Formats: sequence, structure tokens, C-alpha cells
Amino acid sequence: MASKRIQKELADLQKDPPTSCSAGPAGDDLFHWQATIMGPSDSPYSGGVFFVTIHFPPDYPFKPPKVQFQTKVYHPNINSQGSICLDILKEQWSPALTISKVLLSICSLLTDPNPDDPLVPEIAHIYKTDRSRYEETARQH
Amino acid sequence: MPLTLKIKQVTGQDTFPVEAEADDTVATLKEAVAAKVEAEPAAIRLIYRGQILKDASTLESYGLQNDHVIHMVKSKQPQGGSTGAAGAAGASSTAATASRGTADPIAEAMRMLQFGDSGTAGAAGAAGAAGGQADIMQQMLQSPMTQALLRNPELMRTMLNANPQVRQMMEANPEVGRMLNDPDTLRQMAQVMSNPALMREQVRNMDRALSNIESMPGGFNALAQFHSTMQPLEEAASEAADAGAGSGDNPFAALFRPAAQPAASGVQQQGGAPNEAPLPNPWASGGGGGAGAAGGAAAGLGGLGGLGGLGGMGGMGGMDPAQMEQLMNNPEMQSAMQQMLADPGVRQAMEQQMTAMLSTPEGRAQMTAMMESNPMYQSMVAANPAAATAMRDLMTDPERLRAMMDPRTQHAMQQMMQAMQELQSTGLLSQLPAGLGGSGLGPTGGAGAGAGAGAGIGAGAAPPNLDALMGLLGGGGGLGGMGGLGGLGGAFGMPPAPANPEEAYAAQLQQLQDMGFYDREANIRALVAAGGNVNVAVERLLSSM
Repeated sequence: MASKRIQKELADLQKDPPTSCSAGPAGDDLFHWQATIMGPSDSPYSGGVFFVTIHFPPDYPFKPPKVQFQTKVYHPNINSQGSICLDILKEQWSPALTISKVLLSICSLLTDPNPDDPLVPEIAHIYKTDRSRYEETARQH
Repeated sequence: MPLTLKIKQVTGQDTFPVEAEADDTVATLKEAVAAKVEAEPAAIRLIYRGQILKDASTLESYGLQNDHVIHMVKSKQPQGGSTGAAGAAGASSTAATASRGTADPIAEAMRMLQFGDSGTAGAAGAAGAAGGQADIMQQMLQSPMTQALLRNPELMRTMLNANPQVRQMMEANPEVGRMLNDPDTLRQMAQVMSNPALMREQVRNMDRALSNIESMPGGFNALAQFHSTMQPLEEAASEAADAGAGSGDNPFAALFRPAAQPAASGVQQQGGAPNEAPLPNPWASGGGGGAGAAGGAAAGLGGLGGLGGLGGMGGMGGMDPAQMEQLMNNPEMQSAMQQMLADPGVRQAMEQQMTAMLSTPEGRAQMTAMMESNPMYQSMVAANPAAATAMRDLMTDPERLRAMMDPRTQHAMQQMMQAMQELQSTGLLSQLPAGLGGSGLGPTGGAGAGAGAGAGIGAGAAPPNLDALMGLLGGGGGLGGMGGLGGLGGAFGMPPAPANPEEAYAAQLQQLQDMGFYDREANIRALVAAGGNVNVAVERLLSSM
């Protein structure tokens, strides 16, 4: 069940991936993927390429995949461990979602951080009070 | 072999095709791409399947095929030096030393004050270190100085953030981080910490809220998830607080023990039957509450009845034999169950509710949907599809349910359960992996049925309407009952498919639809063939694609 669904998603991603994301199995293990998210052009992350690991649970798609940044990202909702604070990866997960949609959501999170629900309060604070400093720091990373 | 690959640009411009050979190297492909976009080959990066393609590798080695899409990023400058992200890790070292914790919280507090603002960070650590010394802690908390500190949520937050342990906890559990960053939660925590009466009240509210959430459809899932995220934290908290002597003494630990504490207090205040037994697990502890509730059912304690269901849940999964045993060995629980089994009125009420509900197709569909959304059930399906199907069928068949309610059956189940316990104590059963839930469900689940029914009836008998029962069944109580039924289910054969599958499987149909299976006819066929099991139906649908 899970592996068929993952294969189908892989086939879709190879033929018609979203503009700024790419994903596929990291090795022979279909349940362990590697993905890249290309910094959205309308964000301070533009030009950056961010690596993300995806682990599918055995009962995917009934449980959300585990998605973590491998590249360090300076962002209010992504901590230094690469954990992402995103509702659809937790309680808002639905079997109707796909990796492609998850990656797109992460892209839009990069463009529009959610400083009111921060994982890294310091960055959220800077984002709220000193936007240009935030963008400058984000660009450097 | 010639390939036509599509190059997708991140800037959003049109995708363009590139011709290549399968045994070309990436470098060759880059040259071709670079020519089209008028850029230096060195300045572009090609990405496929989440990997940056390396110049020396061949296209074949990446599994590229005709029509596959490759992403292209143009770098503006060569990869710059990375500025170390030291900022985040820069928690103050004074805080670390402060929270390393001497035994005397007051001295600690004094020292922290000397450190000034960043030093106060240790207050959280100190509170943790206070451990069993509730008096001293209280004293400290009630001093106007500390109160003033705690009344300032901003300061609290800084304090918590500067404590490396708390920080670690927050980073590992984003939810907790969110909670601890919420000024309201912090203020509440501070208030609660400084006022024991308020704390007791708070803990009781939490208890009530839990039981409410839990009786909503799907609410249990959320709770289970919450529980699994909270578990490590809870452990960490109690470790830090040296809670061995008794969690009741430590407000911090109590904050993280939403269920264990109230179960005890709930019984004392409402059930009229004190329960001093140690209740290490929030789920199992629900059983304690349930016993109280069942005992006081005459008084109509609906809320606690729901909580009792949690105990049933624990039993149902056969998750942890030790927990289970503890729950079942609890004399309160046993007597409540006995009482319940002996009372024909209660039984009849339950039976009637069940029959009424199951006689309508909607009721059946709801019931099935409810079961489908239960994580235990899901894992059981995974472990043992046949048993699961049988169980579901059983649950939707009023005749068999009635048979289940027969006192003799229940009695037999109880015996079975006791036998199981004996087996456990001889160590035979502990070798069975807990994951065997599905097949192991027979006897263990039987216990769950008893417990679940006990709690369910406790409240269900008071307001005899369908909604109340649904609510209860949504709670763990009913589910516990199902666990038991599953065990018996194996004994019965497969029932015929329902007369109107579209109606009976409405919930599953919706689920399939949400997953992207839009062919309604095929979905119905697959569901009928799968006996309403969505997982099996999906398997069928996918294999026929």
C-alpha cells in the first residue's frame, strides 16, 4: 500500500514536478527520500538550494512523512536541527496530501514565515521588529 | 539511447526541452543547457530527484528517462563562505551553571538574582530542583519578588529559553516550544504554580477537557498523538524534578501529568472511593478514574465516565501487559465491573442503545468510521487483516452484539482475562511482542471490553439517547469494548455484504475520494470486496490500475 503510493508520487514528480522542488529516493530505499527546495525568487532565500530529507512511515499516507532540513536555514519556523514547524506535517496531515504539496507548502513557508507561531523565537522577534536585518541574515546563510 | 529531457527553471520561466544521450555525462548536459539560457556551464546547477547532479556522473546513473524534468538553478556567485550560525546556540552559560542545581532552591534563587537578568534564567531549573520540597518551593513562589517575576510572561519566556534543558526539549518537540512561547500559557503556568488551590482546579479542568475532547469523533486520535509527543517530555520533566517520591509534591511534574494526577483527585472528590495506587501512565490511570465513575454512576458523572474509557482503551490495545494488569488488578475497577455485570438493568440499557444505533445504516457507517479512525484498529488491521474484518463485521451486527452482552459471555471473558494475567505473571506472555495486538487481542481485548463497557454504561445509562452513547463509544470506553469483540470475532464466520454498500460505506467512500480515487463505482466495488476495509480497498484499486 505505502510503497505503491510512494511509487506513484515519484512517477508524478519525475514527469511534472513543482517549479521549485525536486525529490526522489536517496538510495534503494523507497521510504527514504532526498529532496531539494530552491529558494523562492521572491524571498531572501532566492538562489539558495536547500536539502531536505523525507522519511515515509510504513503506514504512509495515513501518517505524515517526517521532513527535515539538512541545510541550515535561518527562519522563524525552522530550528537549528532542521525541524519544521508546519501544521500539515503534524495534526493537519491528510492522506490526500502528497510530497509535492508538502514541499510546496514548505516553499511558501520560506516566502512567508509565520512569526506568531515560531520555533525559533529569536528569529521571529527579529523578523517582526527588524525585517531588513532578518532578510540580510537569511541571505547570508 | 537518445533522451528528451525537460529543464525547469526556478525563476518560473518556461520549461524547455534538451536532447541528450543516456550515457552523456552531466557536464555535457550542462553545456547544452547553458547554451540555451546563455550562461556559463559552471554557473548552473542541475537538480533531479532531490539531488544536485555531479558533473562526472552519467545521466543513466541517475535513472533519468525520457520526458523527465530536471530543475536548473543559476548561481549568482560561487558558493560563499558560510557564516557560522552561532547565534542560536548562544544560550547564556551563567544560566547553565545556575540550573545545574544545588539542593537548596532559595540559595539558588538568591544566586540567580545576583546574576541579574540572564541569571534569573535558572529559576525554571531551580523550580525543577525543588523536587519533593514542596514547602520550600511554595515559600519561594509566594515571595513577592518571585511573584513579580512570574507575572511577567516576557521574562518567563526568556528564562525558559535560556535554560539549555528546556531549550533542548523545545527543539525536539516543536509543539512544546509553541506552548512555552505562548505568553498566556506561561502566565497561567506561573499563576497555577504559585497557588495550590488553583493548581488543583486547573488539573481538574484539564481532566474534564481531556474527556470531552476524547468523546468527539477523531478526538482520540489527536489525544493519542498528543500523548506520544508528551511522553518523552513528561519523562524528562519528572527526571529533572526527581519525582520518585511522589509526583503530587512537585507542581512542575504535575503540570506535565495532566491525567495521572486528576485520576486520583477525581476519585477522591467525586467517586467517594479513595485510590492511592500508583498510576504511572496517563492512559492506565484513566482506569482509576473510570472505577470511581462507574461506582458513582448513580450520581450521573458523565464526564468521568468518558475518562474511564481511557482505561478501556489501554486494555483494548493490549499495548502494555504490565499496565493492563495493573488496571485490572485494581480492586475498584474489578468491583465496578462486577457490579456492572450483575445489574441486568444496566445491561439492558446498553443493549438497547446498541441495537437502536445499529439498526440504522447511518449508525453502522458511523460506527465503522469511528473504528477506522482508531489508531489501534489501524495497527491491528496491519497486523492481522482477517481478524480486523471479522471484528468490524461483528461490531455492526446487532445480533452478535447482543450475544456479546450476555452475562455468560462477559463472565467467560473475565475468566479469560484472569487466565491471561496468570500467564503474564509466569512470564510466558511477556515474550509476545506488543505489536501482536491484532492476534493477541482475543483475551487481552476481552479485558478491554469489560473495562470499556463499565465506563460506558456508567454514564450512558443516565441520559439514554443515541448521541450520548455515540459520544461514549467515540471515547476509549467503547473502543475498549471493541477490542474484546475483536477477540471473539474470529469465532464467527464472515457475514454477507451489506444491502446498500454506498450508504453503509459512506465514510470509507469519502476517505477514498479524499485520497484521490475518483471513480465512485470502482470504489464501491473495491469496498464491497474488501468488506469495507479502506486499506484493503486501496490495495485493490491500486493493483487494478
